[in-house]
Amino acid sequence: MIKKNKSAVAAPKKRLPRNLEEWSIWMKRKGAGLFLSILRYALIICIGQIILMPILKMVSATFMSPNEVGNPVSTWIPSEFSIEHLVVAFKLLDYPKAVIYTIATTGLQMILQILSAAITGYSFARIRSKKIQKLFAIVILTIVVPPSVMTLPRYLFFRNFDIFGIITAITGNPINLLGNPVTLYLLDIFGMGLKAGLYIYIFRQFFRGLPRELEEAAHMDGCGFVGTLFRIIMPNAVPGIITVGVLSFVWNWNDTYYANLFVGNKLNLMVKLTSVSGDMQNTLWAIHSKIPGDYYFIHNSVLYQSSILTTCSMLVILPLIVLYMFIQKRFVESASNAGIVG
Amino acid sequence: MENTKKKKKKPSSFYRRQDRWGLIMMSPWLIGTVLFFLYPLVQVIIYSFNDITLELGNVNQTWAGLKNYIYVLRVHATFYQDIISIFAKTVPNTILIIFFSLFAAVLLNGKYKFRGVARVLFFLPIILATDLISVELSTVALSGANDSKVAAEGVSGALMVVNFLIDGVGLPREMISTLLGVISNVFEVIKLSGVQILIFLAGLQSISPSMYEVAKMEGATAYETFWKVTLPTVSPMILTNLVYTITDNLMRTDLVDVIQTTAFGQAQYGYSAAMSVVFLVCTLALVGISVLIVGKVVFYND
Repeated sequence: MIKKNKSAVAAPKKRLPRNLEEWSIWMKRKGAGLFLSILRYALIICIGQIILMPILKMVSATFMSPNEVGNPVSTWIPSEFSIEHLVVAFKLLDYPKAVIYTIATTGLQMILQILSAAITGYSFARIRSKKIQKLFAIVILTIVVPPSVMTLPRYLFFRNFDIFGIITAITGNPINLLGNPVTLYLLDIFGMGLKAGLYIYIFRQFFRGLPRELEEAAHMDGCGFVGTLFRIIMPNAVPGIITVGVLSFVWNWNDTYYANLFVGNKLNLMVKLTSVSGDMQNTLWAIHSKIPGDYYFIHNSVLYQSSILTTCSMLVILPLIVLYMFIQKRFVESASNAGIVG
Repeated sequence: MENTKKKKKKPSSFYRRQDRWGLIMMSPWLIGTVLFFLYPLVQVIIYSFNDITLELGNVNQTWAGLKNYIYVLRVHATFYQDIISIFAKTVPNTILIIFFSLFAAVLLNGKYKFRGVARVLFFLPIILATDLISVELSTVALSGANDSKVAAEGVSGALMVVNFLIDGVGLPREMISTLLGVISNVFEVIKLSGVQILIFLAGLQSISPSMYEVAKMEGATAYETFWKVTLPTVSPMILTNLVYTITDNLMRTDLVDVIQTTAFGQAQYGYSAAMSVVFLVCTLALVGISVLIVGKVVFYND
C-alpha cells in the first residue's frame, strides 16, 4: 500500500535524480523496467546472433581466397577479398540461367498455389452445408500425413500419366511426365502441392474473418459468385495473399523432395545443388577446363570442396534473401496482423 | 423492380446459390484429393500387403500377407530403432519449439525500439528453411570447416564445465545430460520455429487492448495478466502449432530418406510401402494423442 502511494506521488517528477537518496528511489521505480528491457535486448541480440552467424560465416567463406581457407589467423574476415570461389560456383551451378529458370517455375507454382488455395479456402469459409464442412477434416489430414508416404503411387501415376484412358487410346502409350515441371503444376492446380493444406487453412481462417455483408451487398448489385470472389474478396485478401505467396515461394524454392523426385530437371537450382553436393570431386573436375589458369583450383581437397559448397549454398539462397529484404515489411505486417488466426 | 424481387427471397436463394457455386469452385480440390491423396493412400496400403515389382513402369503385385511388415519390423537392421528414436526426439523437440515460439512471440509483441528489426530477424529462419542448406548452415554454425582448433577448445571447455557441475556441485548426471541435449538443440529449435512464432504473434495481435486495460484496472500484475488473459486467448494457437510442429518435424527426419532409398535405390517397393504405412500410423497416433491431451486445456472464447 505504502509503496503504491510513493510511486503515485513521485510519478509527475521528470528530472533526473540529484543525490544518492533520490537515485535509490529512482532505481526502485524504474529499476525493474530497466532490467527487463536490458534483458529483452540481450535476448534478442543472442537469438539474432544465432540466426545470423551462419549466414555471415557463409558470406565470409565466399569471399575468402582459396589459399587462405583453413588459415587460423583469418577465421572471419579474409585478409584479401577474392572472387575465385564465386567464379567456380557460378560455373558449377550455371548460375544466371538456373536462377532465371527457377524464379520462373517457382513463381508460376506460387501463383497456382495461391489461386487454388484461395478458391478452396473461400469455398470452405462460405459453404453452409454441414456435410461439405465436414470435408475440411480432409484438409487437416493432408497437413498431417507426410507426403513421403504417398511417394510411390504418385510416382507411378506420373510415370504412366493418363486421363481415363484417353491418351492410351490415341497414342497407344501413356505419357511419362517424370522430369517435367508440369507434374508440380498439376499438383498445385489441384490443391495438393507442397504444404497446400496449410495454405487452404490460412485462407479459410482469413475469409471467415471477413464480414458476410460484403458478399450480400455484391449479390444485391447483381454480382455472381465468381465475380464476387475476384472483384470483392480477393482485393480484400491482400494480407492473406502475401503471407501465402511468400511461404509458397520460399518453400517451393527450398524444396528438394518434390523437385528431385518428379522433376529432376538439371536447370532447377535445388536439384543442381543436390547433385553437386552429392559428387563434389567429379563435378569440380568436369569443369576444370573452364576455370582460368591462374586460379587456385584443387578439386580433390576436402577443404576446398566444402568452401565451394558453402559458396554454392550462398548463391542458392541469395535470391530469397534479396526477396525477403524487399518484402519483409509487408510480410511481417500482414502475416502477424491478419494472416493466420487459429 | 428486379432488385426488390431478389431481396424478398434473398436468404434461401442467396445461400443456396453460394453453396452450389462454392462446391463448383471447390471441385478441382476435390478431384485433387481423390486423385493425389486418397487414391495414393489406399494404393500404398494395398502395396504394403503385396510383393511389388516394376517392369517398364507397370506394377506386378502378388499377395504376400504380412510378410512386408514382419520384414520391416523384425528383420530390417535399423528401421525399428529409427522410428523409436525419431519419435523420442520429436516429442521433446516439439515441446521446446512450442515454448520457445510462444516466448519469442511475446517478446516480439511488446513495444520497444528496433522491434521491426527483431521481427525481421526472427522470421529469417522461415526463408532459410531447407534441409540441404540448413545442414550446411548448422555445420558451419557449430564448427566451421576451418576452425576445428577453436571448436576443439570449445568442446574441452564445455567438458570441464560439465565435469565441474557433476563432481564439484554434485548435480545428478541425468539432469546435466538432458540440459546438454537442450542446449545443443538450440540452433535446431530456433531454426524450426519461424512459422510457429508467426502463428502465435497473429494470435497475440488479435487480443483486444481493452482486455489488457480491464486487467490493469483490476490491479493485475504483468505476470497475472499473462496467465489469465494472454495464455487462454492464444491456447487455440497452441493446438494449431502442436499439429504443425509435429508434422513439420517428422517430415524432416531421416526416415523419409530411408523410405525413399528402399523404394528407388534398392527396388524394394513392398518394404517401402510397409515402412510408409508404419510411419503414417505412428504419425497419426502421435498427433491424435497430443491433440487429445492439449485439447482438454484449450480455451475457446466463442
